[in-house]
Amino acid sequence: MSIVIRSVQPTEELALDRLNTGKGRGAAWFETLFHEHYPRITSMLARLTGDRGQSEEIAADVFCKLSRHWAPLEGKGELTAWVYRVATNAGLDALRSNSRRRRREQEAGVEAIRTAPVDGALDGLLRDERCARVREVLATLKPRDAQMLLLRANGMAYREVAEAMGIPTGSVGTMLARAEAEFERKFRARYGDSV
Amino acid sequence: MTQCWGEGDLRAFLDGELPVEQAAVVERHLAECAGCAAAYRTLSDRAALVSSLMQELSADVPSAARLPRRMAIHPMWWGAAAALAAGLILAVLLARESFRPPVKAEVQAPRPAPIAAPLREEPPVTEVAAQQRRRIPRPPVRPARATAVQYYVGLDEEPIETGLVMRVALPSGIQADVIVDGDGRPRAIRPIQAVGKEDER
Repeated sequence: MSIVIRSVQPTEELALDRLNTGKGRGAAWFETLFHEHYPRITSMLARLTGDRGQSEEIAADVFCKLSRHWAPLEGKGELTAWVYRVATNAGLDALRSNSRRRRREQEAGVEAIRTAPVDGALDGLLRDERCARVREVLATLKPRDAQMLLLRANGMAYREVAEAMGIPTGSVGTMLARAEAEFERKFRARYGDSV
Repeated sequence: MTQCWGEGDLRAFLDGELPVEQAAVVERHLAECAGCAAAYRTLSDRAALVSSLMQELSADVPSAARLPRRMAIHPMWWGAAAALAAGLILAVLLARESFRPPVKAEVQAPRPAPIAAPLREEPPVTEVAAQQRRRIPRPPVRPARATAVQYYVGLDEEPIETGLVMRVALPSGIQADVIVDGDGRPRAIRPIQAVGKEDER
């Protein structure tokens, strides 16, 4: 057995120390980033997955990953973009294999039909159907396009979208126009003009 | 005629995201360029369609669970709330006192909270059996001396990314800090006594 001498600390302190010892970043950065972006990311993921509990799990997991693997990321902008990118990809993965959501929607649909008046039940079914269609099309888009549409649907301004995606503000309009065109093309290809 | 604009600029104009001067120029251009005006209408119609579809998703999601934030309460409101709470507590105490017969106050030392009874009742243990029960000697845990650098002996060659430091007491009475990784494997050890001698030097 070779002797290795190391200085170690408990896990939590270690993670925070690593944040603190980086170039110009620290635990305060992490806290700021978390407080500023966690609600937005959760909201974005909730739109994407339709499951708020699951979206909170994904968002928490992403921030947990960030606390452990910040090393390759240089600036705060890059950290923000990384968080949103990883969260979007995880949300799309969850959307594509979301049996729990489908089950919940089916149960909710059955319950809605059972309890609601006839008109309300029909409206609810139609709305659920439209949501399912939108999510199916989002799942087929490139992650960057889906992310762009979700961020805008979340009410974020171009400057905030640019920060979240790690792109110049001047590029947001072009990328948004292309994402919308791609969304419309795929939506019409699947469902025709019945929008 | 002024210059034509790309779809990115037109899309930003649609969202009111262009600077004021640039937006005025684009607006003038759209009034005189049929091509750009047609492109703008297409963008506008598509944006409205996509926006309405994306907004469907917000109706599908239950209300947002917001992150608890530090609440900024105005001092005046805070003071009023505190005064109201104090008044209510005082009123309740006075009301209770008025209905309570006078009794001789007995000052008692606070007793520790009773330990919760086990869910399952154990069979009665006789005194002899209780004496025969093996007692495991537990040496008292000594507090760790704060040192700038703590030296550990690695138990394998792999580098330690993260770990949890656990203080253990060996049967021989020696205590040690052990780093346990995420899989529960001990990865490094630091005898407490060795550190004490080292610090004394």
